[in-house]
Amino acid sequence: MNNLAFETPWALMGLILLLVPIFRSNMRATTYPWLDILPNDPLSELLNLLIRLLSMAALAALFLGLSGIYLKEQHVERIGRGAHIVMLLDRSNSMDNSFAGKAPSGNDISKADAARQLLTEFVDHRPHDLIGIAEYSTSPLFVMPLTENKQAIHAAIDATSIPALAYTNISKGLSMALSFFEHQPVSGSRIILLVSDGAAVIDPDSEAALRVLFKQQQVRLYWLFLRTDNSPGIFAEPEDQRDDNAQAMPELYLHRFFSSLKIPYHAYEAENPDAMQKAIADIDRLEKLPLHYRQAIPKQDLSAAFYGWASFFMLLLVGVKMCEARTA
Amino acid sequence: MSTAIQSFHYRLAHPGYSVFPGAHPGQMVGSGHLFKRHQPLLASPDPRRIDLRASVLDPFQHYRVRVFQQHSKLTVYVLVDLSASMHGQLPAVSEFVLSAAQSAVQMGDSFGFIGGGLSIDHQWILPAGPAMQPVRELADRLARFRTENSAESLSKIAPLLPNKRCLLFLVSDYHFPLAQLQTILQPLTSHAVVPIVWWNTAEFSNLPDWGLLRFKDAESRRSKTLLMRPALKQRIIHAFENRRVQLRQGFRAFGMEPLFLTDGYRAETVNNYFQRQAL
Repeated sequence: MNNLAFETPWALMGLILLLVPIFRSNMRATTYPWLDILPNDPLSELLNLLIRLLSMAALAALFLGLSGIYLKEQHVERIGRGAHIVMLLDRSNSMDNSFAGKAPSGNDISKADAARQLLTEFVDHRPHDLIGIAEYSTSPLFVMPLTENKQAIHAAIDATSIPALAYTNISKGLSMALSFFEHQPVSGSRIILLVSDGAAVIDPDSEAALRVLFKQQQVRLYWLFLRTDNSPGIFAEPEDQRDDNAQAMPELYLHRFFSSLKIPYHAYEAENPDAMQKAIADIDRLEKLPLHYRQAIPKQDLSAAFYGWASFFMLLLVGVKMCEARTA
Repeated sequence: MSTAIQSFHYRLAHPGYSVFPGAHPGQMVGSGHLFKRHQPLLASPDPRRIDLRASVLDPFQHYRVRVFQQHSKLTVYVLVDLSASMHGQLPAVSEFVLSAAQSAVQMGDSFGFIGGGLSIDHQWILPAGPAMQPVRELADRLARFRTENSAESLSKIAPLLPNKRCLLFLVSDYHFPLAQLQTILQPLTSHAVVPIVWWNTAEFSNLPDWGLLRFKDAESRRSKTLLMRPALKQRIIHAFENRRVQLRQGFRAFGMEPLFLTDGYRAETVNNYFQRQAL
């Protein structure tokens, strides 16, 4: 009952008229000298009761229809397979380049385009996921909180087609992505899908804060590293001992940092769109834990149904009226 | 209208006591044809009626005079139930009132009318008299009258009637409990009462066979919806038959034989009634 609401509640005052069929009848009365002499007839009494109930039902349906009754938006709790996923997208300048490190030309597509395309498909494959999107560049960008609205997610992914921004500030981006899981029930798996083509140094303060946050939010981390040709990969060990520092090889150090978090973590290094697709298919396959989620059912207008019932009842009443016998 | 009035013949077996001469056997001594007894000349000084044989045989040597039974006049009253349930019947009842009045006037009797609804209204009291005109006026009013009450006052009619034995036609549909019937009939036992049970066939045998009907009680304003079907119609007709038996028993307990009128009024029906029994 709490889910019902009315467009024009004052029309409900008409429900007072429900009392009318109790006191009055729609049938023509024939004066009879003495009712006591007529035998009792249970069938007639039942029919009389039914006719009165029918009139009341017709009136009720009519006035509920007039009052514009509707069912409020509702949420249905369902169990599906999926995850809460926050996509953390790199919006640094380099993402607009192709995997070859150049501005895309001819059949080449930029890393951002490839990511966009694959993420769109990924989203389409996962009907029950709650997906949020954050981006980072010099500072983090809040794009879309965790939502099940696929249209909004698609729009948010498409919005990354505008030219990218400046640098890479991954620690701020990560903490924003982690903040998406605050005040969210722990259900299914929580995933941060980091899509980037480069890494940056995380300063010790942020590092400590991120460690705490990762532990608190119980997330799994997937890092989809879009490696540009001729750039050091995640797993490349330095050849020279002097290069073994965070400034020279930020990717390796970020990987080491993620590995040291003691959370489920997996890094994919993609050098072309196909490799990237494979990585995403991998994630798609892995992250299918049971998930409680709430599905929204939009507001439903019930007045048409009530008008239908009202006309049905009135039709029956007309039929009853037709059955009335004529007395001389 | 007066041309269409049919009259009927009524007779009473039980002699009346009226002092006025009329057409019915009486107990008064006077100018009649039926020998009653001998009386001394002093008691009835009419030398024309001296019975010589009886006078000679009289051991006291008195003159004996023959006296005859005088036919006496009768008072006829029509008592009508003016309750709401009688509404549809009143035009026919007014016809009967005219017919009874004409019959009475033709016999030289006097005719009176009393109608009783919730209370007895003076406009519905017509004292017994020999004239037709007041009856015509009353019948006109009666045919147009809209009744709307119960028949409470029928039991209070007796004080308005003469003490002498009268012929009463008690017209009603008798749609009330039998206990009320007793209180109505008890005060009327000293008169010759003809209860006329006036029913309309539209109330039972002329009901439709099929269909929904809503009946509204004329007096209590309650209503009842019935799904008419042949079985139910038979039950209603049966209920009226039962009622007829109950009423007949109720009347016979007071020595009255009811006259059932269900097809409107016809003088022959009343004639038949009086030919079958004299009151």
